[in-house]
Amino acid sequence: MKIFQSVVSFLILSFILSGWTEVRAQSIPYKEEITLSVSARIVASSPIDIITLQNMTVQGVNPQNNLIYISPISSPNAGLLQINAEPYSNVRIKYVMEETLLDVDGNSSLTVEYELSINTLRDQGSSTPVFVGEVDLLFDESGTYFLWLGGKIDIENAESGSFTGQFTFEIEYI
Amino acid sequence: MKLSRSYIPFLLLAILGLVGHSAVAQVISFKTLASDPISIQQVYPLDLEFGGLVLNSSDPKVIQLNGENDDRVVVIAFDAPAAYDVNVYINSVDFLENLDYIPAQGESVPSIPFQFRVAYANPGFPLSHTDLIAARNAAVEVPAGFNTLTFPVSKRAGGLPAPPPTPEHVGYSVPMSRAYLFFYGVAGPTNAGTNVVAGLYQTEVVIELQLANYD
Repeated sequence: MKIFQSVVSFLILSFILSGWTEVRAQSIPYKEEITLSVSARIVASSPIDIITLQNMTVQGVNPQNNLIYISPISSPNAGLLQINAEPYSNVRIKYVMEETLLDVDGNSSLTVEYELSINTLRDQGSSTPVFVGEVDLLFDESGTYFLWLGGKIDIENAESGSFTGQFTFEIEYI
Repeated sequence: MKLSRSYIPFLLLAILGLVGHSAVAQVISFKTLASDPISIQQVYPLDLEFGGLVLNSSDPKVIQLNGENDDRVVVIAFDAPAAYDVNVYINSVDFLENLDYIPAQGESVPSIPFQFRVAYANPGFPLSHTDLIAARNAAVEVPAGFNTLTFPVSKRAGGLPAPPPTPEHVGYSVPMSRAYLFFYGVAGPTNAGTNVVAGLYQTEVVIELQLANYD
């Protein structure tokens, strides 16, 4: 009888212990794992290529209040430049905002205040204006930017003549 | 008396059993979920791509959560029981390597600095949630340098802790919630790298999600 009781007790204890083991088995943590690839492409800074597609012209623009205004976004007289650089590169353009136009005889001058607009597409109407003398361009996979050049010319003190000038800018990778 | 004496071994064992049982009660785990406690729903975009960097530049390429290049942020949605916490383990290195380049003897593999960043959004979105803008707006950025984080699957309101979650049983489905993880960071600058040449620089980041185990 005693032996029987001990066996029963042992079995009860065994049950309790086995129950405990089962609970432990259920506490396995649940996991999910993913792997991300991280990449960056480093490019050598190849020369930046600038092509003048159209010069800025003033012919046919009617002055208003002694001011000739050529909008870089809407005027067909705006100049157009194409800039080719390394795809995905960052480029900074700095330009001189005011320039003097000299008449061919060199006797008189005019001042032009340049305005720029930029676009990755050759679509002047959707280009973005630049108001300060500096702009950073982030090239996409095409490696191309278009830049329209317009400006304001004060002709209040102008004498008649033919004026020409330059647009000067500096462009570099950053 | 004779009867009670014969039961002494049984009583002793029963007491031992009870002692054992009460100790067992301390480690009861509520994680008795039957099916898929964490499931990753969406990974977009698939990879963290920094795009182009220029040689010998001092400007790193930055992908911010809500800012510069934020269209490149990798977004992961995952579904898990709302009442639980989730642990996220990130296995990452702090550089990107040019694996195509075969270094000459004594030369090191070209590499540039890389900083991996993570953020999470856990306001308790339903499983049908897909609005990434709302998810981004709810995101909490983890400071740079952390590679382990724990947060509730669904953010809990302040106050007293909630009662323990209801164990799963027949006819009861565990309330689930969708949470988001965001991955982004900084690559470069190229002039701070080692033996940098032009080419593709990469690494892999392993991210492990796990329901928090507090026992």
